[in-house]
Parts: sequence; C-alpha cells; structure tokens
Amino acid sequence: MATAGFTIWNERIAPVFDVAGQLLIVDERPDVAWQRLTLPEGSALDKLWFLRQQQVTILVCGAMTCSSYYAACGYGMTVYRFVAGPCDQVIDGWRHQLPLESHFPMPGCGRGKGHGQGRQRRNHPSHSPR
Amino acid sequence: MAGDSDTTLTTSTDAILESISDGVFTVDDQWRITSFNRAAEEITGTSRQQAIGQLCSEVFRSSMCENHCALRQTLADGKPIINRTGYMINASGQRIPISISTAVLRDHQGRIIGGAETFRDLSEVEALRKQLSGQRQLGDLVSHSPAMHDIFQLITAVAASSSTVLIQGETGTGKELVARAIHSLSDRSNQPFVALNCGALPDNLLESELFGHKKGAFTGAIADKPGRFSLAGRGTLFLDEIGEISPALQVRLLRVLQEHQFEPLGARHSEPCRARILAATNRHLDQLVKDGSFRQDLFYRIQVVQIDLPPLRQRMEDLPLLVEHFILRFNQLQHKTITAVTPNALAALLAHDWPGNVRELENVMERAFVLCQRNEIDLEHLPATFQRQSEQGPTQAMAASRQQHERQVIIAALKRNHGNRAATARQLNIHKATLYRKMARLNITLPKRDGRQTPSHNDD
Repeated sequence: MATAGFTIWNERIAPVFDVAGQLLIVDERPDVAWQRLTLPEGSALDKLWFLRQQQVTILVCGAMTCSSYYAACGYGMTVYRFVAGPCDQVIDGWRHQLPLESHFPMPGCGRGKGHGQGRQRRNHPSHSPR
Repeated sequence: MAGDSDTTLTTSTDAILESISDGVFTVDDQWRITSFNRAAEEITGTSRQQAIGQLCSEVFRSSMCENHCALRQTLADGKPIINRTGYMINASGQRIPISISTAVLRDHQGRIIGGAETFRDLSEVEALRKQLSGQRQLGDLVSHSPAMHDIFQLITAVAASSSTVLIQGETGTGKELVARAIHSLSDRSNQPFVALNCGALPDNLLESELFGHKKGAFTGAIADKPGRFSLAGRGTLFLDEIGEISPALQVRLLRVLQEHQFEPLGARHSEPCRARILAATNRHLDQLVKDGSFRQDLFYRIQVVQIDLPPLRQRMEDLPLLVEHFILRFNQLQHKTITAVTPNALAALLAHDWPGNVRELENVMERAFVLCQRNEIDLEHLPATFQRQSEQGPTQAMAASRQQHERQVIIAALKRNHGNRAATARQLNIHKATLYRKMARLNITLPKRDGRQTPSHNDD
C-alpha cells in the first residue's frame, strides 16, 4: 500500500518544501486515518530522511529545489512538486489518480515547464472521495 | 483635473515600476497579489496574468514565506523591512538568492489595504562575491590557508574524473564536506549523493544497507530493499569510516570496485554499479594494511587519489574566517543579527587546541548563538573551559596564539628549505641567531638531517 506525504501550511500545500514545517501522512486506503507530523528543522535532506523513516514513498509538495528533488528520487520516492492548493482537495485528487502537477499547479509552474514529476503512478482502482 | 492628475500619477508610477530591475508586487489584505511588475515576472518565471489574484506565497515561493514573512511582520507592526535576505525557488527549481524590502499600502483615509514587497535577484552579486573570495571557499569548505588551497585545487581536479578518492583526516576536519564538494563539482552533481557511515553499523546490517536485499533473503526481509549502491545510481556513494569494515566485507567491496557490479543479498543476478565511490577514514589506512587488518588490494583500489585534511590546529590562521562563516550561517539558521565575536572571545578561541577540529568550533559557535542575546559573542557565551583558559587574560591568550602561529610558520619554512636553517632565516627575513632563539623558545626540534647537505632520495 502506498503512503503519501503532503507538506502543508495553513491547510494548503506548503509553498516551499525545503523549509516546510508540517507533514500530513495519508495512506492509499481511505479507512486509514491521516497523521499530522512536525518535520524536523534543518536541511531538506533532514526532512527527506524523516519522510523515509515514516515509510513515505510518494511526496506531494510545493516548490522544491532540483537538488532536493534528486535527493528524494535517490531515496526512492515518487515526487509531485510545484503543487498548490487546499490540502484536502489535493489529497482527494491524489486518491482519484488525477495528474497533480497539471491539476493543482503552482502559478507559472504548469505542465511543460521541465520540472520533475517523479515516477508515474500505476493505475490504482478509484477510491471514493473522503 | 484631480482625476487627470491621478491617472497621470498612476501611469508614471506604472512606467517606473516597469522600468526597474527589482521585482515588485502588491497584495491585498487576503495575501492575494494585486500587481506584479515586469522584473517580478522575470525573476519568478511567472507571468503577470498567472500571478494576479494568487496567494503571494505560491507565486513568490521564498524560504521566508512560511515562518519569516517580512510582509506579514510589516503589516503587523507598520514598520518597513529593508534588505532581508533569503532565497526563492523559480519555476525551474533553481534556488535564487534574494533580498527583500517591504512597505505598508494605505488608502486615502490612511487605512491599511495591503502591502508592497520589492525583491532583488542577488545571483550576480553572489557569483561576484564567490569570484572575489576566490579560493577562500569551495562548497562549504572555507579556508585561506595555503595547505587548504592545495586541497581545493586537488578537489577541483579530481571532481572532473571518476576515480575513487580516499579522504583522510582527523574527526571533524570536514571529510564529508570534501566529498560533497567533489560531488557538486562533478558532472554527477544532478544525481544523488548518498553517504553511509561504515563504523556505525554491525557487519550484517552494513552488508544489507550497502548492497540491499531481496524479499526472503533472511528472517525479517519481508520486501525487496534497495541498498546504498542502488540508491546512489549514477551519483556518488560516500563511505565514511572505511577503516572499520570487516575483512569479509572488504572482499565484497573489492569485488564491486573491480567488477563494477554487486549482488543484493538473496539475489540471483548481479546489478551494475555506476556510482562513483568516495571513501574516508580518520585512521591511517596504510598502517592498517601493515598491521594486516585492511586488505592491501582494497587499499590500492580506494586510494587512487588521496586527500589528507589538516587538523584545525595546523591551520589556525583560518579560525577567524571560520568564525565569520559560522556567524553568517547561524544568523540565517537562527534568524539572529550577531555581527562579530569580541576580541576577548576570539583570543580564547585562538588559544584553544581544537582536538575536535572544525566540528568542535561549529558546536562552540552554535552554543554561543543560543546564549548570546546581544550583537556580539563574548567570553561569557563560550564554554567554561574557554573562560578558564582566558583567565590568564586576553593579552596572554593572544600571545599564546601568536606563538602557536609563529611556530607553524617556522616549521613550514624549515620544511620548505629541507631543514636548512640559514635558508629558512633568509626566507623569513630574520637573522639566523633570531631563528635559533625562536626555535629554542618555541620548542621546535632540529631536523635529524643537516639541511646543508643535498637532499637525497633516501632522505625523509
């Protein structure tokens, strides 16, 4: 079962992963409760290491530097970066297998901008909205 | 008339805003962007149409937005902020250093209706600063000691190759920083940098961590797990404390280095190893080879290029520069505005022997930042041992540090002149008798070989 981490701020996707303070861990199964955790202060690598310890395999976040993106990929994570919007809508979109980076793009960061999109998700059976 | 004058004012303000090279945007009381100039479009990579009406944090994407928003602070206390520094991430994922300034926007009745933020792209300034500081900084390594400059040049040279590098140095000298610098200067910089401390794990765990395992390889292996060789991909794998690995693991590692492939535990087939290997140790590997606890063939495989990092006590001239570096760093991390250390505190730092090297200095500075509530770090913010050392007084502490520096200079000059004291004295521009006196006072032992003899290949 895939476990996704959403970095959040003010109930929206946090604008910058590298300094994000809060994490929402969401399981693919809708019956599993979300977990809200505080990310460690310090470098982006510290945050990625923490995500790895939480068994997070999919990361959904706002702006992320290329170096952090490559590090996340190095940790085996699928990364959806430059995502913006209210976290419940984004989580809903993820559960419905919407292409997050084109459905919830940060302004000016839509598809075709050349930023990474991580590995493609396999086709999951659709889940009903929360 | 009033309307005409307002229109003219708006038009000229717009023209000015469009012509300047600083990015400018304004927000309403809901943090939504109401105007966005041409330079802001260029710096953020976001067009005006895309930005207007959006939350400023999602357009600006700055390191300050979440916890240290200058505009929020200005709107709360009405005071403008000038030139606060940080970085933003553009639409391509590049980190752009910026400085920002803020102001309150009011309507005709003086009520606050939002805020204005100007921001300046400091990329060019940063590039020039790095160019000016020249060899003083490489990655996160900071030095202006000649010994470190040689190492900087070596790092730059080896970065271009794929050779295995052995980094030797006492604990805390910055071995991982060297490895990171090599990685970031290499053409693998866009690939992962994966570090593993070989001394921190027992042998069986280390093996699994390095090579990974397949489901069912051993009790508890409930799923496939990639090892560090896999995670490093085409990037760099940094193996710290390589001298601690067991003979059995040395054989496996040797095989990887020779054949460029490895087998995860429980796997039927080998996987290719494309990562560059950098290794480090705080022990003398050649001595371990002589003792028989480290394989000679592995040693030669690892030590294609060797970088020896000097301890901090041998480059004390770097201490003020390192202190300055940590002040800048901790100001950013802890959002403080400490400007310097007092002469007393610096004297105490210079008088210390630093057995824990740069890491010890970093810890001392971090502690001082926590305790210091003023603009300058003083003696009272340093650990008790430093305060006791300086009880002899700052003058004595400074004298001690001067002597230490003098000693290093004389030893280095003697070495350059193969122990020839007359040549050393000439080079140091002092009388030979002064040199003898200083050598006696500073307890510098005379070289065994007479420096007047021609150095032979058999000489050390």
